[in-house]
Formats: sequence, structure tokens, C-alpha cells
Amino acid sequence: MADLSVNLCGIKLRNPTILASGVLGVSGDTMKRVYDIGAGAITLKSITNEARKGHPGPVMLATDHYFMNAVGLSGQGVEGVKDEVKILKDAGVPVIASVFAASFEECGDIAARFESYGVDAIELNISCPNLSAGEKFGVTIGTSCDLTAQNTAAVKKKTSIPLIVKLSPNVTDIVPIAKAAVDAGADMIAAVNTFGPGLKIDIEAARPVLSNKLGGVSGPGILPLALAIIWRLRQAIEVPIIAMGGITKYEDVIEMMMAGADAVAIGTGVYYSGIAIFRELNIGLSDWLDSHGYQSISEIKGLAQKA
Amino acid sequence: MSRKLLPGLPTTVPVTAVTLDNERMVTITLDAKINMEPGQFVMLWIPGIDEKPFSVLKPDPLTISIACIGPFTNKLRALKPGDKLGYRGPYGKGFKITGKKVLIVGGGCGLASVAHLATVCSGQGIETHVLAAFKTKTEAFHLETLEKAGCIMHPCTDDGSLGFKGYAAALVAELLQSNTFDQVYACGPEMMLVTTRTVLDEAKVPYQFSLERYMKCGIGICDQCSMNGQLVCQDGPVFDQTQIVKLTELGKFRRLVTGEKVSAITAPSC
Ligand SMILES: Cc1cc2nc3c(=O)[nH]c(=O)nc-3n(C[C@H](O)[C@H](O)[C@H](O)COP(=O)(O)OP(=O)(O)OC[C@H]3O[C@@H](n4cnc5c(N)ncnc54)[C@H](O)[C@@H]3O)c2cc1C
Ligand SMILES: Cc1cc2nc3c(=O)[nH]c(=O)nc-3n(C[C@H](O)[C@H](O)[C@H](O)COP(=O)(O)O)c2cc1C
Ligand code: FES
Repeated sequence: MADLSVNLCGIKLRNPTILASGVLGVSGDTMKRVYDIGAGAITLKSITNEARKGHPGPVMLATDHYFMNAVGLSGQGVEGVKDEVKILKDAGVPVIASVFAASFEECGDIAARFESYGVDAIELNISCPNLSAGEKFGVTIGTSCDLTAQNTAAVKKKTSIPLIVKLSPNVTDIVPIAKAAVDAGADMIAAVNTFGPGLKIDIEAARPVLSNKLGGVSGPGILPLALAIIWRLRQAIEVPIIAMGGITKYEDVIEMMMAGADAVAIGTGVYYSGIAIFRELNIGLSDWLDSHGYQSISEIKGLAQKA
Repeated sequence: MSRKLLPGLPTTVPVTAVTLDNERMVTITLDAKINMEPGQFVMLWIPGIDEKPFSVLKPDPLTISIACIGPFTNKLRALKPGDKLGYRGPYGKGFKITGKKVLIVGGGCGLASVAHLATVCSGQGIETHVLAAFKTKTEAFHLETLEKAGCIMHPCTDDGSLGFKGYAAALVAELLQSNTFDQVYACGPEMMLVTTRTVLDEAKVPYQFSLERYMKCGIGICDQCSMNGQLVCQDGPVFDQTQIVKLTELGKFRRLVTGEKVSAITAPSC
């Protein structure tokens, strides 16, 4: 049996499949179930200081080929999520806490709170596209090198656990943003958040389906776009990359790893295959590596870059 | 992609009828029919307003029975024939129909969630007893329809204005004295379910309950409806007694729209 474990800045994962932020990331019990079925680590849904309701429904929609959401960063706030983290940490689950805030200071404070809860890493979400008018976080930051650097540095200053910065694909060139994050102290890069915005119109209602009208696009249709971004990032930065965007099959994971990813995250794949996707991906990976004579998944990292 | 995908988009159709059943209950019929098991639910979308979960009263034509208790449900009540309404689904696991003699317990608008089951059971020749519990007589609905469908009705009100005076669990206990039910089905306020469950556990009668939690997606993605890690939208809303034992949050916690946990019994029941 090939070794599927990966090491991300000292965090040892039994396999490279991580639950992406915002999908089943609310209840500690649900996330523990996702871990039990096979995920290597869990990312919590992005959290800020205060509780947020998010947008009215529909907050998401699905088709055979793509998925769209505008949840609006609903969440119970950093205080409420403490008990959910405890459930996970008591069970030995590697946990990544995704954070965002209206100010860089506050973002650092929230990250520090999470560190005190015992999470393994912080993921700074500077890439959420589903904001309300006037909100200055998420993609507002992730489209600017300067703001990316400032926000990264502010969180790095207040925490000592590994810091992941999660990038938006919706920029002219992602490489300078990634470099700005790494130079400001990011230990890892996660990419990508949803593409877009996208729009779906219900022709009988003659209006957009999502209450927010526009939404972020994820799911199988974005895989080639995400893959090209991982490819370019790997050529530009040295730090570990957590790759995501459209993964639904073990072959997709292998492609991401061959493009240079160190681990992968799965969000929308849970809609297409249920939470059992984590078990299925790992069985598929293990069989494929065995049948191709690889001892460990780390051997395929960046293989396609060498071609 | 190893499974049949759950419906991911609303189907938008005209409303064909809006009938007031009493001061709080309205029945809405859509120009649509769906294939479903009793106990499954749909998400109803008022375009441009919001989207919320509702059980199906009748699949053909698609009919929903609604308690008007807040902003969304009151907007549903205000719909007129011809207005557009979206639905997506059906979602979740429905009731498993089993046995020759069953008791179906509906508390308040919970009766809407079990009325379809009652009609189907009765139609299959199962001796179908329906315990319909309300606060008071003026809140009662669907009694005649269910009686016409062949169900044996046991109305009950908190104040005794109609039928048995007292809570549903007390009447369940009384009915169990003189009847042997192969299966008991229930939907209603969480306190009713908790007390009914105690009665059923003591009498060792197998049961299935339909549970409610805040739902945003209905397709197993948002985690909003989690109870002890079970997704009510997908693993439920119907759970049997072997599953309910593990749902320790029943009667204790529910989640608000933000995901925050609060007491389960403070929910404004419909
Ligand atoms: C599986 C399921 C089946 C249901 N079937 C029926 C039915 O057949 N008939 C019926 O009248 N009602 C049914 N409900 C309840 C119905 O969804 C709520 O009454 C409705 O959403 C209230 O919206 P509102 O804006 O009018 O009230 P609000 O004032 O917003 O809320 C009133 C109550 O409804 C609950 N609620 C609000 N939004 C949601 C939501 N998105 N998901 C779940 N609960 C919510 C609140 O927690 C609160 O307890 C069902 C709920 C679920 C989960
Ligand atoms: C319903 C939904 C909610 C999401 N919420 C968040 C979030 O809160 N924070 C975040 O960083 N990304 C969020 N994302 C983005 C995912 O984490 C992921 O980056 C993106 O969906 C691409 O991966 P996928 O195709 O595997 O889903 C969300 C995605 C979906 C579908
Ligand atoms: S309603 Fe979204 S997971 Fe159940």
C-alpha cells in the first residue's frame, strides 16, 4: 500500500484530501464524520468575530457541471465555534481555521483566538467573492498585492502556527499576489476560491436564482482553470500549495499533485459524490499509486512540471 | 460522480390555488407534480424573496400546507393564483411504510408533514389511526380530508375544545392501552416528540419521527441542519428509533440561521 501521508509545514496528514472551507464546516460532529470517512484534515467554514446570518435563500445552486454559491459568509462567530473545534481536537482531527475580518487587527485577534483553541493552522480567506455592499474583506483584499501583504503580516504577527493564505482566481495575474503573501509571512498558499462572479437566471421567474444574484462558481467545470493556476503558482513559489477547485475524482487529485500541489481540498465534490468522496478518493489514489509502482504520493508531486 | 444528483435548481411554475384552512393554515397548490415518498420535502422559492423547506401534502398536483408564522410563510399566504413559485426537491429520506395497523401523530402544522403518509397508508389498506393534536379547536385543519381518506381520527387539544383534552403523548399512552400498533409515526413540536418518545420507548413500540432543523441548502452542503453530525436534510428528515437514540440534540439544541446553537424548545412552534 502506497503511503498517502503528507507533511504540511510540520502538520502531518494521513492523506492529502482536506475538506474545503464552507462545505459542511459548521458542526464539529459533522466534520468529525467527514474525517472518520476519510478526509486527511478539516477546514472550518470562514469565521469572523460576530455571528452573521448570510444572504437569504437560495444561497446555492447546482447543475451537472458547475455549482454556484453566495452564502454570504454566515457563521456563528469565533466564540460559538470553540465547542465545535473541541469536538475535532478531542478526536485528534487536524483542523484548519479559516478567518476573515473587517480590519487587519481584528483578523489577527481572531486567528490568535483560534490558536488558543488548539487548531493546527490558520487559513486567511482574502478571496470570498460574496460580499455585501461596503464590506471590505474577502476578495477586496485578495485582488491587491499591498492589502494581501498587510493582512498576511497582521495575522502572522499574532500567531505562531502555520499560516495559509487562500487566494482568489479572479485576478489578472495571481503570481504577484501569491508572492506578496509569501513575502509577508504566509507559510502555505491555498488556491483557488470560487471563480466569477457567475450568474444563473431562472427564465420562468425572469430573475437570478441566487438571492445575491451573483455567486462564486465551483465544481467540475472549474477544474482545468484551477489546475492551470496551480501549475503557474508552482513555478513561482516554493511553499506548500493546497490545491482545490473542481475535484471530484482521484484522477483530478493526481493531476493537481502532478501540477505541483502538496495537498488538495474538496468542497463541491461533496455534492457530486456525498461525503464518501473522501474514502473513494483515497482508495483510488492508493490503487493507482500501487499499480504504477509508486511507494508514496510525494513521488508524483510536480511530475508534470518536469516533462 | 457515483450517484444520482439531487435536484440543484428550482422549477418555477404558476400557483393554481391558495386556500385558507383556518386563521393560520393555508394550502397552496402548484401547477406541477413530483415523484416522491411520503415524508420527503421540497424547498419553496418565492422569486426574489427567500427559500424555505416544506413537506409535501400531495405530490400530484404538488400541494403544500403552510402554517403562517413569520415573514416568509405570510408572503406565501399572500400569493394569488397565477403568481410564480419555485420548488426544488424532493429531498431527504421519507417514511418507511410497514405493518398492518399504524398510528400517525401530527402536532400543529406537523400534521401537514404526516398527512400524505396517512393518505398513502390508508390507501394501501393499512388500519391508519391519526392523532391530530392542536392547541385549540380553531387551529385544527385537514381532519375531514383525512377522515374521508379512511383514517380513524383521534383529535386532541390542549384546552379540550376538540376531542381529547391534554397533550399528544398522554393520548398516545391512552391509545396504546387498547391498541397494538406495528409502527408509530410522528411530526410536531420538539417537546411533543420528546414526550411521545418516552411513552413509545416504555411500550416498546417501533417508531419513525420527522424532524426539523434550520435548512439553507437541502442538499447536504451547508451543514446548517446538522444534529449530532447527521444532516436532517439528507440523512433525515425521517429517523427511526434506532437512529433517534443517537440524536442527543433532540429536545436540547437547534441551530439558528447563523449556525449558533440555542435551546431546541424555544423554537416558535407552528
Ligand atoms: C423538513 C421540514 C419540513 C417542513 N414542513 C413544513 C410544512 O409542511 N408546513 C409548514 O408550515 N412548515 C414546515 N416547515 C417549517 C417551515 O420551514 C418554517 O415554518 C418556515 O421556514 C418559517 O419561515 P418564516 O419566515 O415564515 O418564519 P420565521 O419567523 O423566519 O421562523 C419561524 C420558525 O421557523 C423556523 N425556520 C425559519 N426558516 C427556516 C428554514 N430555512 N429551515 C427550517 N426552519 C426554519 C425558525 O427556526 C423558527 O422556528 C418545515 C421545516 C422543515 C425543516
Ligand atoms: C457552498 C460553498 C461555501 C463556501 N464557503 C467558503 C468559505 O466560507 N470560505 C472559503 O474560503 N471558501 C469557501 N468556499 C470555496 C471553497 O472552499 C473552494 O475554494 C471552492 O468551492 C473551489 O473548490 P471546489 O470546486 O472543490 O468546491 C465555498 C464554496 C461553496 C461551494
Ligand atoms: S440544509 Fe444544508 S446541509 Fe442540510
